Amino acid sequence: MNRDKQLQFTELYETHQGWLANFLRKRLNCSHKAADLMQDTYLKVLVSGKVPPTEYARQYLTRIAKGLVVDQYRRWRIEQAYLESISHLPEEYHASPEKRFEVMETLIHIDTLLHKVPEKARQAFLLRKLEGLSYSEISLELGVTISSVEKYIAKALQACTLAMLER
Amino acid sequence: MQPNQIDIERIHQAANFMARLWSDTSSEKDQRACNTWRTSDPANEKAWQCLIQAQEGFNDAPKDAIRIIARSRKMSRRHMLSILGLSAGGFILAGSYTKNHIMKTHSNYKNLATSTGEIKSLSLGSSNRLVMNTKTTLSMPTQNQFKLDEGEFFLDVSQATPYQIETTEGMISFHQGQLNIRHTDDITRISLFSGQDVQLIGNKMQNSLSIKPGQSLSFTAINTPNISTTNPNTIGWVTGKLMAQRMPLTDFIHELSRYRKGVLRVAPELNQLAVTGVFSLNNTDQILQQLQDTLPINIYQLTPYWVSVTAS
Repeated sequence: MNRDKQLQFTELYETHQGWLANFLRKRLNCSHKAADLMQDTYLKVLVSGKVPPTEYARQYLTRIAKGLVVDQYRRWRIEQAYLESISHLPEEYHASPEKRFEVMETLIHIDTLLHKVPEKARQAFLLRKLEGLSYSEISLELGVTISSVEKYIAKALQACTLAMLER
Repeated sequence: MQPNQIDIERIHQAANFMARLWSDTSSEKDQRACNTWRTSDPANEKAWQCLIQAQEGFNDAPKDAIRIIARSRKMSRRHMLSILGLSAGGFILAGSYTKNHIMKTHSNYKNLATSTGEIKSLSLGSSNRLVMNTKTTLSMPTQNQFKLDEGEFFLDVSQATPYQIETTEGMISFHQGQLNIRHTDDITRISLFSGQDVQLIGNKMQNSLSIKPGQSLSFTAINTPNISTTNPNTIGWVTGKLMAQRMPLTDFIHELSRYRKGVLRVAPELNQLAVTGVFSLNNTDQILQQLQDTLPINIYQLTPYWVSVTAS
């Protein structure tokens, strides 16, 4: 980043950080995490090496910030569901913090890839992929025809590959 | 990488072939058709490999991944907000940079310390969290007491708990919220980001003082305290980042030196230069490089432990 860019970035930070912090605080209900995501937003701009033109700056920052809020919610809801799923286990069966972290990251990764896949297609895909069910078993489980299962699987494969490429 | 239209079409075809082959009724004919398609164009094969790559992460999934994901998707945004109020800062939210520890008994917490550059997150029961910054020496004589000898720590307390914090300069009472306490260079700085008011009494003060959320206060053993507004940049370290907004370079280097072993010197006349940005604390060499790239300065490294910053 050259001097000009550095100056533009400084201006971008100073002009917009006020409303951006408010924007994030309203969505996250927490000023500490809002500050955190605001810094992540600017970090993304820095990493991209592109400072948006003034007239689009607000739009640009909002788009990045919204994406980060979505990621944050995904993290929260999966963390919560995961903790619920292990809450009935006696403590000695709990995984180590490191292991839990890995499991959480895997779950988040899967959820992100299947983000745009409709409910039934996602279930069909996961039943096949994670539980190794055959198409006829899946068709019984979901109450749909076997040819629908094949269509669901194809749809999910396509969507998760595109999601991976877009990241 | 943004897939273009042709790639999308090929991925679509590859997905249809794969779904066919996975079927209970797939035949040799299906297999041949797929092979023919894959070998007919390298771009087809590339699309096929993309499909395989996208599925890599699924192999590490835990047993009940389906149920966890399905359940998590039923949780509404509103539900999330209420959960957030209860469990702000669980072990996951600390991110991947800070080390996380969940310990069962208080006895493990009696003497706590971090080395240079280390940032450590610890849970205090199920809903409260302690994060320690670099070069910090802290002890917990009891479950509700902290004694800070040197360094900095952040408390994220959602379940109200009466905490007493002692620094060389005074005593602080804190119940609930997000509080940062820093004791470096014989100054204590308390910043309350949210929660209930904090009470404070300095060793040389006659009366106690109250700090409200959004207020920050610096005091020494002798001086009268100085109240200002909290600056979220000052707790960037909780997530492993050094944040600066028009910070004089000399101050910035002074901050950076806390995270770096050895000597880091800066020419005093460089206080005219200002730094703005977000820097990742897990690589201080990279931060120095970034400064050199953007400011008219030279960075001399005699050894990694002896670095001096001068005007270019």
